[in-house]
Amino acid sequence: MSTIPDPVDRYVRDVLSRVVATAQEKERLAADLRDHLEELAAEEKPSWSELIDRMGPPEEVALAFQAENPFRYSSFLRRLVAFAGDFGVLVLLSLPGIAAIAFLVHLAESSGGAERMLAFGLTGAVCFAVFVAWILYFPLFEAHSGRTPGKHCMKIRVLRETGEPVGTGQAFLRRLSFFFELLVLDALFVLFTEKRQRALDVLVHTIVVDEPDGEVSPAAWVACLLLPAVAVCCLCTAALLFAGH
Amino acid sequence: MERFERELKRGTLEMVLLHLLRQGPSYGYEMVARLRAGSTDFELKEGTLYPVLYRLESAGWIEPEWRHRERGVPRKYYRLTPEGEERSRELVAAWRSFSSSVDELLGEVAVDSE
Repeated sequence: MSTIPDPVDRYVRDVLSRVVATAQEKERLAADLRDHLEELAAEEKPSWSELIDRMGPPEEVALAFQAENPFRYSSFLRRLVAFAGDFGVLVLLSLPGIAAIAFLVHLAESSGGAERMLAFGLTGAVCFAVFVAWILYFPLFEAHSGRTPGKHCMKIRVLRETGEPVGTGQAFLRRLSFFFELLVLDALFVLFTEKRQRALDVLVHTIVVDEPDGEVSPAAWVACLLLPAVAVCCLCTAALLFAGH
Repeated sequence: MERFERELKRGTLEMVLLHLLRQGPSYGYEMVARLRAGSTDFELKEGTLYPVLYRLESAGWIEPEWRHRERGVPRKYYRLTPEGEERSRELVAAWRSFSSSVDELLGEVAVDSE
């Protein structure tokens, strides 16, 4: 049986979902908003829409909070290390697909007729799947939570400039430089823009900010830096083993 | 016009809240009720009050105190610190000086449309 969330809880959660703050700050804001809403409801008994009108829409309350707690824009180094970690994850995730491609190509070359056609067809399908995974990895993670695994380790997050969660369209558009070999030029903008934005961040109005909850652990730095090396080593090892056969 | 009014409120809310607390400790809902009673023009989205209160608290101008009610959970009141009292006086003096200067200018400068 589903429970309908209490409207006060829903309002408070809606505000908190739009706020970048420490757990303690969120808890304080939640408690104060809850108390205020309950007092307002008890004293004046307004309708729910009157209540929201008095309190302000959740996005307005979140913006007011963020105006008093400015973002810390993430540094070039932190973003680069997060990207390295994500690159490592992507390569590792692609290994099964790459192994399948290698196997299917070998099968196609040693077969004839319909089997060969089938093997080449499957090779194309797996290549397409790997390609799609590389295209979707960053935008889907960022549209879902603002964080890829690499960003999660480095405690940074993508947001709209207003502080609201990034939209799916924005998440895709800000990645276009990745696919058109403009990534380096795009990334260099981080060093010169006031909000440490890449060129595409400026165009689609997104920012990358540090999470307010604590520093990045040394283990996270090491993991993000080592992961791409480990992934490439695995790839090379697999290639050598395959070539050996 | 909406933006102008919003900027005016943003610029004066700190002064207004500190001045309100000079009359005695108060809690969020009560502060809003007193603002509404004091002026129909100074409308505030009530949820946006708390981030400003947090800033005043971290600046050391107000501090929270918990008071037990007859029934229910304790209520969080805010009261002025001595630094907050001083800050309130400074802001009100600055505002009075500024607003009288603006009034003088508006009185002296002729505007074609008027």
